[in-house]
Amino acid sequence: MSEVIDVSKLDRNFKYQVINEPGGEGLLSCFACGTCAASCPVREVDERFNPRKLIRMVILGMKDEVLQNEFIYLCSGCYLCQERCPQDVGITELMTALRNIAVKEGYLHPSFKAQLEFVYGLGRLYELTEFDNKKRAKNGLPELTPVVDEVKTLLKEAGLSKFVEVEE
Amino acid sequence: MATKNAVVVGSGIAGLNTAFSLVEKGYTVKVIEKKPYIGGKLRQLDWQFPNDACGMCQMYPLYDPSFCDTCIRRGVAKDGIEFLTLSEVTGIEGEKGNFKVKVIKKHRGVNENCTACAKCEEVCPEYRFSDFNYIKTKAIYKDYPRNFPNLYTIDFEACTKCGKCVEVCPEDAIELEGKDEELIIEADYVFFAPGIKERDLSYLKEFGYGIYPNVINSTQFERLISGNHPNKGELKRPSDGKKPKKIAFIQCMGSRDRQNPDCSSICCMFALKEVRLLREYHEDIEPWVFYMDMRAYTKGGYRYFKTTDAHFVNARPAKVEEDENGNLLLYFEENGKFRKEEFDLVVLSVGTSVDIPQFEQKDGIYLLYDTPLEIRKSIISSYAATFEAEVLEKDEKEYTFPLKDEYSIAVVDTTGKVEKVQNLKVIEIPPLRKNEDVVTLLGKLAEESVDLFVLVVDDRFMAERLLAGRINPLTYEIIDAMRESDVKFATERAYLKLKYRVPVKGKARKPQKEVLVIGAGPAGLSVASSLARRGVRVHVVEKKENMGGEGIHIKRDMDGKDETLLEELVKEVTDLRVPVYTNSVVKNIRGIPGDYVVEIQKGNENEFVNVSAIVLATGASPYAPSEYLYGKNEKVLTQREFEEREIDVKNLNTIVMIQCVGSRNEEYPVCSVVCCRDAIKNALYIKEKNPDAEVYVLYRDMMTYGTSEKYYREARRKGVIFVRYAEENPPVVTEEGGELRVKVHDKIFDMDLSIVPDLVLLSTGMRPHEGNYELSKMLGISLDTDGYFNTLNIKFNPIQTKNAGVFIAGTALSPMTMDEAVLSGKAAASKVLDFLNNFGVNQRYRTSAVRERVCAGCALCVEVCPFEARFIEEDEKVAKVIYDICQACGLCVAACPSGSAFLLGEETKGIMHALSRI
Repeated sequence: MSEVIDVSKLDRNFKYQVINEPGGEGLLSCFACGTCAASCPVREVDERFNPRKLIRMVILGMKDEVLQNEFIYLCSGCYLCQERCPQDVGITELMTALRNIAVKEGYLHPSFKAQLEFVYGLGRLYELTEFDNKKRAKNGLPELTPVVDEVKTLLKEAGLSKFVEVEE
Repeated sequence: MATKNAVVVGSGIAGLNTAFSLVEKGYTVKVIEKKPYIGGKLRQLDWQFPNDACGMCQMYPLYDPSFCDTCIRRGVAKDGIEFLTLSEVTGIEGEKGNFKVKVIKKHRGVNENCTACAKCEEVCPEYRFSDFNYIKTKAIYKDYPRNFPNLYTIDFEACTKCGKCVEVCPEDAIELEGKDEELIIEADYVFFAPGIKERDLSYLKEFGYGIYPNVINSTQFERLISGNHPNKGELKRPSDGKKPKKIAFIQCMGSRDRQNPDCSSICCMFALKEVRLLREYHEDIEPWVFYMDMRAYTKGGYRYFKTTDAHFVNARPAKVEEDENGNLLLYFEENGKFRKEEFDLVVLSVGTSVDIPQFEQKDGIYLLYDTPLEIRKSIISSYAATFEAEVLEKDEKEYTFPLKDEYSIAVVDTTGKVEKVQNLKVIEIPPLRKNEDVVTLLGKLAEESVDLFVLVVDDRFMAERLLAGRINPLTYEIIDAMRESDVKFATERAYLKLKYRVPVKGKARKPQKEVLVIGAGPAGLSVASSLARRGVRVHVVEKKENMGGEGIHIKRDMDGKDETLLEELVKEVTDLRVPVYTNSVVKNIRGIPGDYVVEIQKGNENEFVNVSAIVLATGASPYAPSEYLYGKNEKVLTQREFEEREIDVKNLNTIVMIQCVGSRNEEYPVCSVVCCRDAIKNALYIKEKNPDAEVYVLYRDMMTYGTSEKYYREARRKGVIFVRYAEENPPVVTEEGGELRVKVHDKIFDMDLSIVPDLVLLSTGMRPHEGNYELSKMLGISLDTDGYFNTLNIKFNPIQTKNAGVFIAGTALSPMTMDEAVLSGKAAASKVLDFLNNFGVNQRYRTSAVRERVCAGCALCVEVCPFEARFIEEDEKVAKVIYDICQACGLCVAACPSGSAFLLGEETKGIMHALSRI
């Protein structure tokens, strides 16, 4: 592959944005040793799981590619790479920081977006139906009522409502 | 001569060299060693980089001549050193010149009578864990065959005092009961030469050290493969004793990580050496090396790396997993691909730190170093440290072997095996075992008025050790009865050799205290100011107009502060009124060590100076690049130009730095050492003045060894972007319409990065000085393949040269930083003082000599002498020998047509007569 990355088109301030985000402080300590890249337990079966490459992209300033990268959402946060990192980059926490930046910048993975829409519309991830309450009553539990408005306020305050595309 | 005492704590390579140098300065030295044997870490190593030679033979002759009965260097042993093993310093009181050093000497359990016959070891029922071979040994033990002192030691933590060893010991050498002694040693100076401490790698759980038996550290591997390990060089892995087929070496274990942020400096070269050792002894084993930056920066280091045959993987593995057979699975990434690979043995290149002793810092107490150093640098540090001790003038001595008309010759028999030989008197004495026996021998010789004698013994090593320094070795021939099939015949031959001994008499000649330093760079100035402070008259010759050499281009230090080191040196040299010949070159040098005539040319005028020693501090020259559009585009500069021109960085947007320009390539396979640090220094400077500027450093291996690793880390944290490129795929700089563009292949992405910089800085490094060749021819010393000066030994003798009066300092040796150059200058000054103090005063027996009566003055011997130890005396027209330089190689004897050249103690006539009997 001889694709060319034109660094002048990249965002050189992105790395500073990341180190100022809680969780991203260790980013620049990375010396690209590759410990994380071989640590990820999913890497064996899926080439996308490559923390070193992602960190490289962040340092070079490939902001759009990073924030739209599926890996930051797919990472399950097992902390293996973080534990083994010799330079204390804090990779798992860095993933959180990147997700937070992504959300602030208006990027959200479709799967998260779908979940958000549920929560926004229903106040919870699964719809509360009559069947649920019947079952609860049978077992002597109190009835649940959906708390939609409060959740909506919370999501609006958190700046997440902008991702919701459902008609109200 | 007033004797003064010095204490050296630590008997590793640095401690020993400190002691040797102090002896040369006239001190009586006590070396205090914690362990039961001296030699430190060096004892555990079979080979040393970068010449794959054994180091111990460089050291043995210096402290224990009896071991080296066949070594031509045996005559170099230093007297005046006492070794205190199993001893520790508990406190130091007093002031410089009057220290009282408190020492606790632990009870060894075995006394000097021990002959290391090993009978005790056979019967001992108890075991201990040996920190030498990393295996179990008996509670009464000896680390390896060539220990010094060559005595057994009891580990009282494992010993049950069962007494079995006492029963079998034939020499009555074992003392189970005994107390630790408390000693107070008076000393004028104390030097600490601490050893290195290996880090405990068990915190690296994912690598399984201490969990999987086949994961070992690099010293353990060194022992495992060693010929004097109990396995006798057969490589057996710890778990099942099988010979491994594939071995992984993992670098930076216990260094450059969270717990131990510094680089340990030596492990890269150490691992390369182990790989070579493995390839040499076990060709069928496949070595893999996992590294991050290959820090092969020492003299000859890069060439060494390039010629090492292994599979190199540029990655730090993630983990090691063991299977049911004890094999180890490594997880790593190679060329962007995830990989798993099985190995039989994993060697972790263990990081080290210096075991810094606790002591009050005051004048007269010196610590040699505080970071791990390779042998070469640790020796340089030890020389530099001993510079602090004032030189005690040694008295002149005469070489004597008495002139007499007739000698009385006898046979001294300690074995009771000798029959009558010719008409010789046979004196029977008990076997030589301890000092008292030598007293008996001396008494007998005086009683019978014997001048020369044939000594028949049953243990030559022991006899030679006992006699060393007490009897002129020219007065006897020694016969080892255990090694001779026919003792009578051997005695007869020895007698014939004695019969034809030629008496000699020589007068020592102390040299003038006058020294020439060539080059007024940091190293040269350091030599000059150091020597001038010690009352030596120094002449400095500098080709350029000003003092300072290449150092004047260094404006800032790594911390960004103004560099003042050079200014201080220039001021010191000026204040001391050292004559500096600027705009001058050395036109010609004639003469011999202790007496050189130097022709200095300044313009059209020639001046002659007479000196005793010469220090070459010719420095190195900056590489003049032609690559990467240098000289064609004004935006392409070298790091030095950037530093000197004080370019305004406020308006710079993007800067690209390219490392290894003109270094570490096929044409010049040498690492210039300083350029990575320069790049980081300038990158930090740019980032400080203009944090918005983007700095890309295109590198191959970052050479921020030792504590300078912290600047590399700081640069990354400030946002400097480091991009690794491969040698075979270097960056490409192009110009289009006045705009520069740099393309570099990023291995992590496997993609090209395209950068449009405002400035490209080339890290150009250094090349050897072009005048080196002329000087080397003039002085009869050699250059290495890269064009730097060779010293006597690349590792163990890093300052002196084959020409005994010539010393090397600074970048004339190999690329180094300014601090290192100044230190090596001080070390060279120290060795010059040693030379001036010892030249012509030491009594030497193993040298060649001249029978002046038959010498025709043909000068053939002068021509063949590889050490320049001979010259023709102009008045008498006969050959003379400079005994201090002669190494008794015998070439002159072979070349001499008249038979006037001979080796003391090996006279031709005697040997011929002895041979005629065979």
